[in-house]
Amino acid sequence: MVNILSLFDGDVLIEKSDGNFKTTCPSCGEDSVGYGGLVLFPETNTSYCHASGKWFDYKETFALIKGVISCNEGREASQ
Amino acid sequence: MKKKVLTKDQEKEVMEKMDEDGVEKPREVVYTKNIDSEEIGEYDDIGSSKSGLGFDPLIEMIKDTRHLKGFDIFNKDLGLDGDSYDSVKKALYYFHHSIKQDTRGYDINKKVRIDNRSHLLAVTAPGMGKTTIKNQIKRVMRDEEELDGVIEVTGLSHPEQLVGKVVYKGKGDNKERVEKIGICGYKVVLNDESQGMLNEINEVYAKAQRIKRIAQDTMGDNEISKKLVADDPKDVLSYYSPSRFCDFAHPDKLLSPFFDTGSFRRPMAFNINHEAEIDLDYITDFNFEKQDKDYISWIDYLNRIYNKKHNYTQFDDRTLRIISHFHKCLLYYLLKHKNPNAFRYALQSKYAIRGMLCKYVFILAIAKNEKTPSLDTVLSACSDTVLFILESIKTYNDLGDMGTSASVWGGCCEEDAQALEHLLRNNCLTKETSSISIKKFISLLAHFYGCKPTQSRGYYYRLKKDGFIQSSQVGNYDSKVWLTFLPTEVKLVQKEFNPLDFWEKEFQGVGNNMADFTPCKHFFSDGKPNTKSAGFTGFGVLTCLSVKYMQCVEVYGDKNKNNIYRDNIPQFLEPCEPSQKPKPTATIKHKSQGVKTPQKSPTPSKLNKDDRETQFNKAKECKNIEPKCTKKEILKYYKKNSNASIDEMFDKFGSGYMKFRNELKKEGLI
Repeated sequence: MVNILSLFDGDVLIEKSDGNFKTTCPSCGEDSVGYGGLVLFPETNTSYCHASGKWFDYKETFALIKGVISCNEGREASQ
Repeated sequence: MKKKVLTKDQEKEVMEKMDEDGVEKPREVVYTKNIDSEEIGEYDDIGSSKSGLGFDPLIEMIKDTRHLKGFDIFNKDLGLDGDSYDSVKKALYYFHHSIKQDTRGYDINKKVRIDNRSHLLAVTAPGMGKTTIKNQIKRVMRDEEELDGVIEVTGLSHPEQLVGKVVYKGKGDNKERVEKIGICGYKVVLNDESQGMLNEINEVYAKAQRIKRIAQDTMGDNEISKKLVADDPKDVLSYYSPSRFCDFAHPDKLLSPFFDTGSFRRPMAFNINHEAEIDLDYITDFNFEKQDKDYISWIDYLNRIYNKKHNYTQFDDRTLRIISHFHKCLLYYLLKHKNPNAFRYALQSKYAIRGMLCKYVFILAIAKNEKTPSLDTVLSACSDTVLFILESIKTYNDLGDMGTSASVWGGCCEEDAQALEHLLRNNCLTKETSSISIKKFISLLAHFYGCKPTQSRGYYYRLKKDGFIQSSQVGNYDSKVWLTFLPTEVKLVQKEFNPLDFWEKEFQGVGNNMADFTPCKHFFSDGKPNTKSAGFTGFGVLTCLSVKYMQCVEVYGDKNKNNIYRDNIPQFLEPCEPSQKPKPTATIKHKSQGVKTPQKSPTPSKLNKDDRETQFNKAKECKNIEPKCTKKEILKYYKKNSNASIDEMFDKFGSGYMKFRNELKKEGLI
C-alpha cells in the first residue's frame, strides 16, 4: 500500500512540527489553520478529522476524498 | 475486531477507483486544466457559409459582345486578353460611352430618376491590368480639359479635397468670391488604392467615403456642399457632381461598413483574378501587328459618334415593361437564392436594381443615338446589367460577407454577428434545441476575434448583457447558449409566377412556339415549361437572357404588321418571314482581330463548313491525321468529275482528302 500522503497534492499539505501533515478536510471543509483540518499520519497511514473527531485508514481516506463517505462516518478513537 | 466503516457498496465503489496498490486509477475522460482549451470540433463549420452562387452558366450566356457596336475596336485599343477580363471589358465599354456623353438626368416618373453616369469598382491583384485600364480612360479623355477631364487620385482624399472650397480675392469692396471645385467636380475620377476608403477604416476615410457616396447618387440628387465658418450663407459652395468614379482596390476583405452604408450598390464591382490556365506561348507572343487599312482608333470612333448632334432619348411603354420584367425575374431569382450574399444584395438593392437597368439602357440608347430605345437596345442593355449585377455579387461573395453586416444583427460588430449567425445556423433558438455550450460559444468568439478564449469570455458576457443571447447551466457539467434576438425574416410575397407569360404576351414564337428558347430547351416539352423548370428560380432570368437569341415575332394589334427580331443581326431589327430559320451564330475570329479566344455562342449550333475546314487543316491536333488516299487520286477524280461536292468526295476518299484538295487548288491544278 502506498503512503497516505500520495492521495493529496503536495501544495495543499502543511507539515506539522511533530512530523505529521495536515490539510483541509475534503468532506466537511474545515480548514487546516490552527488546530483544525484533517491530520495525516504517514507512519500509520491513517488520518484524523478535527471537526468530526473521527479516524480513517488509507482506504477510508480515499473514500473520503472521492465523496463516497463523509467525515462523520469515520471510526471513533477506540475502534 | 476492527469496525468496518465502509459498507459493501462503498467498498466496491472505492475499489473501482483504486488499483491493487491503492493508487487512484487514471480517469477515462481526461479534463485538461488548460483554461484556453478549445471546444471546436473537426466538423464544426465556423466560417461564414459561402455556398456556390451558380452564376457561371448565366454569366457565360451574357458574355456575348456582338450587340455592342465598335466593341472590337475598343478591345484592340484596351489590349487586355483573357477570359477573366470578359465581363469587366463590357462594363468598361459602357463606362467609356458614359464618360464621352454629356451628363444627362432623366425623370422617368415621379419615383424613378436616372442619369447616364456609371461607376466601376475593379478589385485586382498587382499585374492584372489596372494601369492598362487607367491609361485607356486617360487616352479617351485626352482632349478634354479642366473639369471636363480626368483626375487620378490615390488612397485617401481628404473630405475637403473632394468638395473644394470658396476663396476670396481682393479686399474691401473689391472682395471677390472664387469657387475652387474639388475632385468631385471632375468628369472622371480614377481612385487608386481605394480599399481603405471603401472599408472606412477610420473617421476621415468614413467622411470622405460619405461625400463620395453622395456624389455617386443620381444627378440632381447628388448635391455636395461645404461651408466654412467665415463664408456667408449665400457663398456656400455647392454643386451637383458630374463624376464617374472608377475605383481600383487590392483584393482586401470588404468589411461591414461597405455593406452597411450602401457603398456597395453604387458601383458595379469586378474581381479580376488570374486565369486558371496560363498559355506560355500566347503570353510570350511578340511581333508587329499588321495595321488594317480601315483601322480606326477607339478615341476617333467615339469622337465620330459624339460629334454628331444627339437626340434626347426617352423611354416608351415597352421599354418600361421589359425593364420591369427583368427586374422582377432577377429579384425572384436572387431573393430565393440559398447564398446569403446573393439574397442580401437583392434585399438591399431591391429598388436600386431598377435604376441600374434603366441607367444602362439609357447609356446604350444615347450611344446609338436613339430617340426611343429600340427593342435590341433594351434587351442587350438589360442583359448586360444582369451580367454586371451577377459579377458584383460574385465579387462581394468572394471578398466580403453581407449576411453578417451590422444592419442584420442589431448593430453588432462583424465578429459578434458571425458568432450569432453560427447559433442561428445550428438552430440554437431555445434551451432545448441548443447544442452549443458556453465553453464552445466562447471558443467560437475567440476564433472570430482572433484572441484567447479567456479574452473572448468578455465578449460573451457583453452579448448576454445586451440581450442577444441567453445561457444556462444544464446538469453538473453541461451548459447551453441560445439566441434571444432573431433577425427579421423576409418573406417573398409572390403568387404563381411564370416568367414565360410575359414574353408570350410581348412576342409570338416562330415555328415551334416557345421551344425556340434554345438555351432553355431542356426546360420545355411541346413548347410548354416542364417539371424541370419548377424548382429553378433562375428560370426567369434565363429566359430573359435567351430572348435576345430567339427568333420571334413582335405582336402588334394589326396582324399584318409583324416586326421580327433575329439573332444573327444583333444591332438591328430586320423583318423576315416566320418560316425562316436563324442562321448559324458561332464564329471564330482570327487572332489579328484582337480576340484571343473564340467567343462562345450561347446557342451552340453546328459550325459552318468553312470553320470546319479551317479547324481540320490548321489545328495542331489534326497534323497527324493520315489521309487514306493520294494526291494523284484526288487530281484524277477531279479531272473526271469537276463538279464533285465535298460530301461526295468525303464518301469516296474519307478523311484527309481535303488537305490534298486545297493543295491542288493552290497549285491551280483544279
